[in-house]
Amino acid sequence: MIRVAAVGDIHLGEDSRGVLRPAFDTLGESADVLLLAGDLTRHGTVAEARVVAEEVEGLPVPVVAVLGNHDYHDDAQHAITEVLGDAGVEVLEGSSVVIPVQGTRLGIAGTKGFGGGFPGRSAGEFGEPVMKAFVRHSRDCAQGLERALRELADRECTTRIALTHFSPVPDTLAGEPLEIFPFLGSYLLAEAMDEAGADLAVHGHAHLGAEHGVTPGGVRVRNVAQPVIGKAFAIYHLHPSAQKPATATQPSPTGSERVRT
Amino acid sequence: MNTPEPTEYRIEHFRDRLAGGELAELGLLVELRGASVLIRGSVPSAAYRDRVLDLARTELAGLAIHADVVVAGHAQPDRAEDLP
Repeated sequence: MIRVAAVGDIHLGEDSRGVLRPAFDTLGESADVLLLAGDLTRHGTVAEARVVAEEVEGLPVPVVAVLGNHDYHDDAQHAITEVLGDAGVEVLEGSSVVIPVQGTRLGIAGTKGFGGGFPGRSAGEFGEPVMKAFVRHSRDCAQGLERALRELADRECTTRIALTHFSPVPDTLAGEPLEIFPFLGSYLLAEAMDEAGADLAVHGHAHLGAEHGVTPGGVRVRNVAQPVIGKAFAIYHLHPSAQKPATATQPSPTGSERVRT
Repeated sequence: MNTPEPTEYRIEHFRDRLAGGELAELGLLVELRGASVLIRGSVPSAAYRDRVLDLARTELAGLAIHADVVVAGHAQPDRAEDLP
């Protein structure tokens, strides 16, 4: 069994130091990995990223993250990635990481993702440059996620998780105003997951949404935005597939293997 | 003769202030319900909620405000979900 802790939208500001650390310090008892589903900061500043880094540095489990739209707000996303990386956090964007867990290989593929909407009501890559750029960005994120998930299959991961900030399905947006669904997610993410395969999808972004959903292809989706789960993190127990036995590999010194695509 | 600004626009200006200011708040529902403004959602702390409601009272002065804003929990969960 693989125990996955996950939370998104923690929105830490410079006045948030220590808010989540007491709960995170218990992770060694309940989880094998902590996933952070974006919007880790409030304004996307490096100072706020340092607060996030202090909350998760030195935890007893590996920490894997994607950034969210708030983390891009100050145009400091690269510096934020570096600050978190220095604290031992694997920040994914169109990339993946493999974490050995109890003799199996857990693969996590991640992207921020973007909006655009859902089947029958989605934006198209047409018209003004800014509209085409909007849809193209969403498509690029989804394609990066699909590549990363396929690589995890090639690397014989017994369990694969797709980690995003934006939602792949409308199910987990239930509770949000219908009119803003196109700004909360894109079906392109779900299509990528269904095409490449995943055992679980984890996202945030939709504070008023619902926790549970599923893609058209049957991948279970969980919205772990902190306002939704109402806790410091949620925990999911996954059971590695018997059809994809783990191969013996030598873990890297950090306990994980990273691939950027 | 000056006509009062429509409430719908005042709500949007409030939402702009929430998002663009120090709070950077985009996750709250703010909408007209009858003659009142409803503010609903979850925030990180009680102090943060006070700042949201202070801003609402300033930006939406003269309007009745119904607030249903809860503070998100920071405790570890007491159960896990099994995904067979």
